[in-house]
Amino acid sequence: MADDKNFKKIEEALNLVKDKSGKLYFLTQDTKGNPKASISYIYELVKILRENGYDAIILHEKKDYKIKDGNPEWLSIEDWLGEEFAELPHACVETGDLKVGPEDVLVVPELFGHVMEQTKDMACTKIVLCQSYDYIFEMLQPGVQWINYGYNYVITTSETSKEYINSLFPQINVSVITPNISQKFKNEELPGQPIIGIHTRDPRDTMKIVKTFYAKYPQFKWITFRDMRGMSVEFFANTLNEMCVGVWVDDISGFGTFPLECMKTGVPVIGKIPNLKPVWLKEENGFWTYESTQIVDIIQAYIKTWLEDSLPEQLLEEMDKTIEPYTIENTTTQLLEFFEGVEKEKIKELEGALNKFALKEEK
Amino acid sequence: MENITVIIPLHKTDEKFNDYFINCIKSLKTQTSVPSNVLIVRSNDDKLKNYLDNFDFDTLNVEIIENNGDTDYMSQVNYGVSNVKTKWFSVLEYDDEYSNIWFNNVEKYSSHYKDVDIFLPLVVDVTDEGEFINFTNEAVWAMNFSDKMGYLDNACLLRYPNFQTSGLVIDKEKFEEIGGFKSSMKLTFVYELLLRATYNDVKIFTVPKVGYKHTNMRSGSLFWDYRYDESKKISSDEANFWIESAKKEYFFTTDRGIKYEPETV
Repeated sequence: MADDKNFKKIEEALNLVKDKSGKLYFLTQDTKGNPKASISYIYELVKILRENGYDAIILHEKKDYKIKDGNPEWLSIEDWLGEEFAELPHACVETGDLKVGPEDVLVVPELFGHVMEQTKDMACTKIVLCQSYDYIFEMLQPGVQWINYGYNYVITTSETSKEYINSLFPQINVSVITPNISQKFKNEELPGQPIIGIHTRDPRDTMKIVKTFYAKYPQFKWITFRDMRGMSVEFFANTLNEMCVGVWVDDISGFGTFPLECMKTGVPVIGKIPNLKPVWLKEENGFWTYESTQIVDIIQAYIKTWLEDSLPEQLLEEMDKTIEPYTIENTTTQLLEFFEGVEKEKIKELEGALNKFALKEEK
Repeated sequence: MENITVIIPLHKTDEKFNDYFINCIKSLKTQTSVPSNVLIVRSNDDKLKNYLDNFDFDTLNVEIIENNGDTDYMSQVNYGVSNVKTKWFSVLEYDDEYSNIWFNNVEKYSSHYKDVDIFLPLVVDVTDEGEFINFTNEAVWAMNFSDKMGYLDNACLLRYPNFQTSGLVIDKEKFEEIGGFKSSMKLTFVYELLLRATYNDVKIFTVPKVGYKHTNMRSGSLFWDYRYDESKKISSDEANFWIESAKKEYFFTTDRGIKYEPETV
């Protein structure tokens, strides 16, 4: 009797997977209104999947997650990502929206080690979304690996990150789905303004760079720095268009969205090379250094060159070449290939389970 | 650059004139967008006339006119402007140089900032030996300096007078509308003009690119004379007088013939 019930359940799940009717939950961090490229990436994946017939859903932990009309003190998803993303289906763990069966998929960011532990007995397909290698062990118990919680797949954003993850967890299946740089970032070819867009992971680094620059190069005290955090994507893209250069310091960056957004806008980048060097970073496509103390000197040299219109043509060509692969088409292809692979594996697994039942009955 | 005249006011030659003038003209020839017209306004000094008659301006479209009236800097420029036939004009001092990107940038920025009547260059002030001293006209780009970044307004000009018109590109009509330079404003004729322009809603914008190299305090220059030439030297009382006068006179478009009269005991 119980076997019959289980058989039917598995059969049902198999049909749902084949019909792409299983649910794909993407757990998302609540940044309380602070725009983050990592969140934007998750929303982008959900949107692409839905456009391609998958029932992908944004999953958030708490009820107070602001999708629309949020607290005026912080930006809601609609405010910073736009209406098209706010309208994607959302589910909340706290209100019990998360109900999964074997046909479903749960995608959990690397930071949520505790969630992986809580969901270890769930029968669904479980995937880690690893955008920041630095947070891999943040909430994991010592000695525990993702695979111990039934998380057999990893999505990450670059080959370097994939290599690193594989060096830690060789048994896990890691796939790269590269982020795309939003169409909102356009090179408007506006005449430049002497404004420097600065993006650092630690706000203290921003102040350090600004103050050191003004102290060391007082003749450039009139050059303005603009902190690029906390802006809606649209405002961010428009603001970036006015900048003469972008400064980027993020030692633990897993991908490096900001420099690519700069390049797509036609704004050169001065950056500190992160601990994991991004695959796209080349000597010719920006001004890079390993030494954070050199950043201000590079800014000074750059400003001098910019004021005299002496930037090398080759730099702009290299920037264009660099951003070429980061298109929505490429992200879509990689994402669909990945989920088709996951589906195939799931179908194999469920068919295997059904066969086992059949064999049992024959006996 | 089409539809622009570069005015070069010349008063007299001196021992360094030739070196400066060659570089000044070279800076016009090497523009990535060469200005369509050059207008040299000279005094009736014979030496100067001979020099210019024999100077090779190469492919530049140069016209030389003689000013028989007052030949102070302000009068020379005003006279030149009255002979300009293009929409825009610029003023180049013979001891200065444009950067070769200046007119190209004026074209680029004017196609975007369509409301602007005066484009100021980012001026690099240098010593007689060509050493960097400082930038001028740059302050409008500092955070919270003016109402609108890049634009010069009356309020910020009253607080901070350090702007100069050398190398500017200005709409001829606007210049004439506000009354041109006032030749009676001795020390502060530039400041007064800018105050008057901003007071009359003329839009002034600094192109944030190096546009002009200005030799600061060249011996024999007008401002050098004001500071060091015993016969023309200006006292601190007089300097203050001219600053205060500029702040009073900018309300008037006509030159009211201001004169400094030292206080006598």
